Amino acid sequence: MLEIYLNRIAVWKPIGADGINVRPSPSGIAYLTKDSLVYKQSDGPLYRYAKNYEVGKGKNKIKFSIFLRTDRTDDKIEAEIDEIAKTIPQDYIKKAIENASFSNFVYTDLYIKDKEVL
Amino acid sequence: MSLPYPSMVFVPLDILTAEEMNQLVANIESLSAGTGLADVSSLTTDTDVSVGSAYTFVPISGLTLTPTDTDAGARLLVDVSLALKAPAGSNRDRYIRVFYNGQNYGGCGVSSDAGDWVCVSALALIPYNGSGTIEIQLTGGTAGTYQILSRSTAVAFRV
Repeated sequence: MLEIYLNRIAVWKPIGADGINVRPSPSGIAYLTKDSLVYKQSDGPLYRYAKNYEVGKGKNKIKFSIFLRTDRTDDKIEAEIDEIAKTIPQDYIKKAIENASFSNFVYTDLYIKDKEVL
Repeated sequence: MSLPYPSMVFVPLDILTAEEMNQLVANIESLSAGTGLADVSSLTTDTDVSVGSAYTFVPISGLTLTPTDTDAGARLLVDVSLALKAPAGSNRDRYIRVFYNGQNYGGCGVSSDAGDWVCVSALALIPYNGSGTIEIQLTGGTAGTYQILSRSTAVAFRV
């Protein structure tokens, strides 16, 4: 599943830096949304957010990252991702990490709020 | 060493902008230009301690490093390790220590039964003043013949 979904939460292996990591993408990127399977094209930059999290304790502790792309630029995104990270089951994360590679990751069915909703 | 653009992080489906590609190139160029490790990667080492030789320790100055770095205030991380065979005798304690300007900046000691192979290594962080040599000393309590099984090349990194 290599499509870019707007606002959709993806699980991947840990990234190389802790804390929220943000980088803009060039405009003109084709993406899908939660409610439409018709591609749209960004007329401005999309922003990729990524952050490391941990679940479990001791030997069962798993470090992973969550990333997403959005057209939102507000300061509530990190807190929203933090809350969503708590809701992802540990078994789901474990399987996602086992299958993660440089290019493979797992999209969840979770989304952050659309820009229009805020 | 610090890269001009540290902590660049990418995830799947990221599309690099031209600016980011230029930043990656700048990072690579900074390494090749020698602003980092290349400053002191060409250290000279003597060969006083040779592999396979029998060695008498009372005490012995082993390796010296002559950093090519001339930057006063640079911090050098020195790393060396040796595999030794312990001699017979009552005192088989042996130490490896890293000296600079007569001051000991770190080392390691081991004690073993006669005939055992042991590994000693030293890691030292040295405030370098831009000149002079770094001496790695191998010392022990009493005379005895140690055999050097192998040794790493003593290296210093600028950190």
